[in-house]
Amino acid sequence: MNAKVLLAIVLVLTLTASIGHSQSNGFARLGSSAQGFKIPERGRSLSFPSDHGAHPDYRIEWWYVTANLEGEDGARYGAQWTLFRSALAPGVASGFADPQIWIGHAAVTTKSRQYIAERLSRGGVGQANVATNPFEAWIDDWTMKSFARAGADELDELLLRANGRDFRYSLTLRSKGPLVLQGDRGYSLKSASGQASYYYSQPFYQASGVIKVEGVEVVVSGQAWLDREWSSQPLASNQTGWDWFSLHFDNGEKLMLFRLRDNKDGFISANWIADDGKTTLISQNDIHLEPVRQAAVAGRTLPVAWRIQIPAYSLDITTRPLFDQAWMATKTPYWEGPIGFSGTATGVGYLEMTGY
Amino acid sequence: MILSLSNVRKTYSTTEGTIEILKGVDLVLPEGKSVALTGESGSGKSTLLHLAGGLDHPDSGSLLMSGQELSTFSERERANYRRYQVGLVFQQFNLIPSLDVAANISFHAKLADRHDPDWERTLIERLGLRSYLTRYPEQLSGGQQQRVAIGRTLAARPPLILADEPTGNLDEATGDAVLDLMLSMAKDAGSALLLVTHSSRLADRLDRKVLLQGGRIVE
Amino acid sequence: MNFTAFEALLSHWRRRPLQLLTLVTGIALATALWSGVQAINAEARASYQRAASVLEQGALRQVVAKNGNGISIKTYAKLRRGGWDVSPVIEGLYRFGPVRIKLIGIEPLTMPQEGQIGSITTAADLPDFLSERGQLVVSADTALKLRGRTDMTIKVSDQVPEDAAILDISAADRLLRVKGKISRLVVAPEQRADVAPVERISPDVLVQESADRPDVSRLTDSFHLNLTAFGHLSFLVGLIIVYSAAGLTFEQRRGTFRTLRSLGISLPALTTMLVIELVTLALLSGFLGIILGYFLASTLMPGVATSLRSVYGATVSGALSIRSEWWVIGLLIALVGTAISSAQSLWRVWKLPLLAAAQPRAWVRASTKSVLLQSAVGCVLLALAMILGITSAGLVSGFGTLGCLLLGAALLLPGVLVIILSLAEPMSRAALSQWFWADTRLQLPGLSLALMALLLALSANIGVGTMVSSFRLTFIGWLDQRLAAELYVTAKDEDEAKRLREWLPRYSAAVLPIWSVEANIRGEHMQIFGVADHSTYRDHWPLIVADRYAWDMVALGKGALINEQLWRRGDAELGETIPMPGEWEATVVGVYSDYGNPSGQVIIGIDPLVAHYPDVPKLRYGIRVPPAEVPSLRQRLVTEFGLSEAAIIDQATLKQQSRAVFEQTFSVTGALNVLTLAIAGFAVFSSLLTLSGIRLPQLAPLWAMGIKRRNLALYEVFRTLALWLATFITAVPVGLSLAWVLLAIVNVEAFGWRLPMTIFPHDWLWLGAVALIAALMSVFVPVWRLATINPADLLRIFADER
Repeated sequence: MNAKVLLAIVLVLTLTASIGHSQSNGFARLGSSAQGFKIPERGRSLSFPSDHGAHPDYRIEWWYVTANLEGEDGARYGAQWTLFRSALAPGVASGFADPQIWIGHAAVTTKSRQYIAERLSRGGVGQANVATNPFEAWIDDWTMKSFARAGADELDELLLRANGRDFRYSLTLRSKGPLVLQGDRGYSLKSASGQASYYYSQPFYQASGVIKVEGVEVVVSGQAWLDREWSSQPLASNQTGWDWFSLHFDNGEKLMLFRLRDNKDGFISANWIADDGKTTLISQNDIHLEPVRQAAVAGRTLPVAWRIQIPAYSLDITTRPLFDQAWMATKTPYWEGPIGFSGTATGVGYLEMTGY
Repeated sequence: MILSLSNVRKTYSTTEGTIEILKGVDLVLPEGKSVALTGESGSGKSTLLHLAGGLDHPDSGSLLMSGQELSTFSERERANYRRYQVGLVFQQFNLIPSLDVAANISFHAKLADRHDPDWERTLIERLGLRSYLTRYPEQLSGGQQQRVAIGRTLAARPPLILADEPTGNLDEATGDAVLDLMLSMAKDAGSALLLVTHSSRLADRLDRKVLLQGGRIVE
Repeated sequence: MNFTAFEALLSHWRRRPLQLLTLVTGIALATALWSGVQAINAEARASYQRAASVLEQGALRQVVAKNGNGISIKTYAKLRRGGWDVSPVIEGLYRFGPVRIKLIGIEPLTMPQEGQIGSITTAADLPDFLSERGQLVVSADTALKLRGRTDMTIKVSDQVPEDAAILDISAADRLLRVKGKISRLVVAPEQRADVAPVERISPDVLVQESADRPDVSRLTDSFHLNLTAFGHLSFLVGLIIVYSAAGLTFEQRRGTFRTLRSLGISLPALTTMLVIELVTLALLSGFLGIILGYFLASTLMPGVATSLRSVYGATVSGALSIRSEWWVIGLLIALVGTAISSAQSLWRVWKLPLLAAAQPRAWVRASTKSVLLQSAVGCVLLALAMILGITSAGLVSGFGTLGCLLLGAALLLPGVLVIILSLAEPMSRAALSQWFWADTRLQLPGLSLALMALLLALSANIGVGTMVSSFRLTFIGWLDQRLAAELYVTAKDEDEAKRLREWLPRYSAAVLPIWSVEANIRGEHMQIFGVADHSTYRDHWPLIVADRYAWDMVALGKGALINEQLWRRGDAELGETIPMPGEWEATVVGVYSDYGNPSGQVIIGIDPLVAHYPDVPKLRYGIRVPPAEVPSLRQRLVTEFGLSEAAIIDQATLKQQSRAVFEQTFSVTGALNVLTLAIAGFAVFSSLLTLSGIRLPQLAPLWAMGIKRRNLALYEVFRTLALWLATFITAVPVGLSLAWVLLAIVNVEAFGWRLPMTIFPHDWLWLGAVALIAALMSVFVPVWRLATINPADLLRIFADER
């Protein structure tokens, strides 16, 4: 389960906020009411491929891919491809009157630099959208496009493309396992007071392709993780931000873990995903999460390395970022970058930190 | 010895060719004494006076003023010489038209840093200018203007006064009165006086009289 | 004690306050005119810049539709998906009640941050801007006009030009009812390197470089060139005053200079004092001049703003802001002007021999050689003017012609006057009249500068006056023909328009639709009008050139009429077919005059207009009705039909409004014209005053020989009148040449119109009378002085050496 839900709305609300404006305040504004938007309900079963597409009656939604890659040159890379949808009002209209706003974020992380790009578009004009059958999510010349064989899930095989001022990538994603429904059959709780979202993932991608950074092309391969989530009122009013992990264990298992920070102890949730896609929710009390190293990033202090302990799974690992300064200096800035971990288990993953 | 000229020569170019107007003049003026310089029109009296006043340079020869060689002075030194050492009185009165009589009289003294109100008052009384102090030059008669010009020079108490026909524009009676005044006051001020005149009657009243003829001094 | 000497120098001014006044006035006027005109230009340019950067994102490239029909949303999406960073704009004119506003609908999410608009929208509260209710970002003035006329929220920004509003593209789409037709796409300066060419992605659009678009600042260049030319002319005239005043003061103080030097003030010290004196005077007068210039500019600015708006469609604020650079530039100009006009006098002081006698007349004595040289230069300039005038194509060479013409004529003037006077002299036999001519010739060098100034001012007046009057005559005549309908009505919406079309024919002779669409033709934004096939047009519309069956062709939908601007620009020729928006073509069958319009215009038949552009707003109508019935129809329209009074305008009012716009256009030129003439009059006055001060020695012998003072004074008056007359006569041909250049070269370039030149001798009489009064006034003080002079003063001439 994934607290990124909150991000998209923040993007719109703070599009105009000046940089340096108290970020935690900006995130705190997410606790607003749903205002005519639909609210996720426990027990509604997700159906595919239609739920791969957009849900314009919900306020926010995204298609979120992170990839841990290794180049032929032996270097590690991270790649991010995200399309956010954020509605000013529920529903769609044709032309410029459409209330949907689309936001694309793309990034490539190397061990010494973070390359980012951001795209904005309004709906209704075809500049950005998500279509199903065949599946394609796009904004401008960025695309996430299905080339899955007939009969397979549309998200099984994807082509992923994005570019920015000094980077570009083109990746092929092939899934080695099933879609994973997060939370309670896709209904993911975000706070003790009941805020929730629909949330499913495809964490089993094998990725391969080409990354071009500052004019140099590198053939890469590795693993990737897709999150799909939509909601209308994801954060409780006292929640200020989150720390979110997606981990690929070397043995093929996966772990999704997040902590929503608030003025008290916070809300922690995790989901253990076996290599066949079977999931086990881990309760808040069974997880111990603590920062082990702080770094100064973009004028703030962020915990870039963490110790994660889940005694029930005999897990005690410490994460380290590929690059401390994996800062997304987009209109709403946050930290998002590839990590590695070691301890009782080893592997790679992604860390996202917002609201600092 | 305040002023000493030796072998001073001066040539002018005119449309009719060059004229050597001074052909080796020797002249000595002792401190506090007065000398009359006479001669015919065009004999070079005024030229000699201009040279002595630092208004012009000689072609050759030496002009010693208090032991300093005038002919080698720069423009700035000559200006200072005129300001501090010399007082000039011309046939034309050369008053500053925009200043009133009082300001004209004290003008040179102020320039020479020798402004002395008491001495000035004495001068004004003796020159009979008291009732004209607030008038402007154009409101005065010729004799009055010349008295102002003399007053201006005397007020500055220069070591050397050079006067070029100062009474030339005045009638005889006025001229005599003005000259008397100038002589006696120059004595009081301790100034030497070189007076150019073509009148031997006036010349006789000075300590010494010299004649400029053929470009040379003839006693 | 150099201070004492300095005081003595300055004491001159206490004795000659009038001279001080002349000098100060000269510098102040020159500075005022210069800085005033510069201020107007700077203010207007700032407005254009604001307009260009905000309205058109002037610095950025644009994508436009080839056929002028607008760009579809589909094309926009294709370009975006092809990697082009472009942002859509929907714009057009919209009426909020009686207030016409240019709407600029932008898409804030994709708008490049490089343009002005980027910063406007970032600063705006985006949720409000994008909200369904909509938000208008406007200037403070426009906000006032819109109060109570819209439900949209209004936000004030000083970056938005007058009469324009920035709003979200969806709101603009809705208000302008363009159904997603995008007017243009703004191209971000930075683009992906490997992006495919625009035409390959979508063949119906093309990229327009920023330089390709006609921009308002280029259009208005001519207007500013005009102002600048007047500013420079006045500056020149002002300098002439300073020159003569400075020359006089230096000459009069020559004796003082000499005395000071003989009293031991060195030449460098004296020169330094004079320079300090001049600099102080220049700074003080410059300061005065800048204040004067500011008031001048702020008085003229509203007129300038109005004419720029009406003639060029440029939005310029009528308010003037004080700019700090003015003070610097104004004072600098005062210093430079003073330096130029007193350099000669200073040089003379520097070269002044210590023993030379004062020659008060020396400075007015110009050698024959210099008059000859001056005349030769004048001839060369006139020849150059002629060559430029014949070969001239551009605006700059047009103004070059003007400059050469004026300067050449001015330089030639003294030579011409000398010749006239030399001819007059032997013709007069009486001793006194011989003296009169000889003496006048002697005075000439001292007066020639002032006379040159007068010539410049008079020629400019005649030239500009002829141009404006010719224009007025043509314009009014054209207006009478063109505004043929007796009443003009505007419906508030299509429903009311429909009812009008049904109601009106019952009460009128004819109802003529006045419908237009805005479109791009050959890359230029212009209006396409439709006309009904009615005798009103056939009889009243003046065509400059036309096919025989022009109106029939138009009615048939095959022909189009284009306005003179479009034709003169060479964008279309008679008989040529032009591609019309909506994929059809029309043949140019005639050209009509269209004064007061900055852009091109096309007229087609009303039926083809509706056929090709079914969405054309059908709101405006001209109504033909016997003149006697106008009031009753008007009444009926309001009471019976229910049309609002504001929606009806009669011919007379419309004509009056058009004339007011016209008069406004030239009011600035007129004001500058009058000012220039006034300054030239002052130059003559100061020169005469100057001369009168040194005239006494010349007149005293005549007086001694038995000429009465009164007669001497009369001679002075005659002399002034003779010189004035000669100058005025010279000014007529120069002024007419000037008018020809303005009408035949400058106007065609600047406005796109050529007008027939008409001569107005009555105007010259009036101008001559004004100049005569100025001449008489200028001679009055010196003559009065002469006539009342104390004989004792004349006597003293003989007593004093001068």
